Amino acid sequence: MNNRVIWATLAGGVASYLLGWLIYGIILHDMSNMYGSATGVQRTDMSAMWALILGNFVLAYFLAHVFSRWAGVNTLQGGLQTGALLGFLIWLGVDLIMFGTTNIYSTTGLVVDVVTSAIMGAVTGAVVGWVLGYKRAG
Amino acid sequence: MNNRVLLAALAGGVAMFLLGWLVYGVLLMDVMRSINPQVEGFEKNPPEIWAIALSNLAWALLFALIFDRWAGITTFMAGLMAGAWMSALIALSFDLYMVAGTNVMSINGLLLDVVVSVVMGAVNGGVIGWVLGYNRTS
Repeated sequence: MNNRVIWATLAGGVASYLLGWLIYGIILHDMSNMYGSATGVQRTDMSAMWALILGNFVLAYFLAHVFSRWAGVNTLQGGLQTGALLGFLIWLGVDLIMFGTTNIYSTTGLVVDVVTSAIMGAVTGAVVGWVLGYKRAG
Repeated sequence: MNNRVLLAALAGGVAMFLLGWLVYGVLLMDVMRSINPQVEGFEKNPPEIWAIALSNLAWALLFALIFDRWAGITTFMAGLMAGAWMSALIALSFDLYMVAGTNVMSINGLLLDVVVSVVMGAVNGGVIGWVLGYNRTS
């Protein structure tokens, strides 16, 4: 792992965390029809915030790893497109498993979360791609 | 996206579905229940099989696209390694979100789920890599 991947991971993780806070913490916070019948699932305290932060960095590292090692993505535009595709497929898989095995999501919640995740993947990917290509000699 | 990618995704999705049923549905079902906090009404019973199958196909398509379009993976062994690595990161990220935002996953549950996901991702990746390279002239 080179320094560029580390910086891209850090920047992507921060972007993902802030965007998640904005979308899930504020914009979608009161959208009650996203949830299924299960109650008492959502954690109401902030005691495991470290896990949320770490989760964002792990996902940013996944994007940085794929972009840097395989996809050759090192631009904002390339990262935006590739991040949207990867974010969409990753969270489509995750959300469908959660929808299929638990009562957390409603159908609306499933669709909203997949779309939201694709947007978050696009923005995170754009940041990761931009940092990977920053001041890189052509 | 070519036919080989679609075929590889289909094969990987089927392998993942069967392995998931064996591991989560039979071998580790009781262990998973005992290791994680139980919230009344959280588990969907019966599960939505179509959603689980579609989830497996989404992840298999993700792997097949990355392997074929960017990573150039066309062998079982290379697919196994890449699949294990990608699954570890995706599962770790998702499970960290679950620890942070819900009352249904413990740290031990996270660790076990990541290990199981690595094994399942390795098999999934191996199958996809093998199908992508099957009868391919170099």
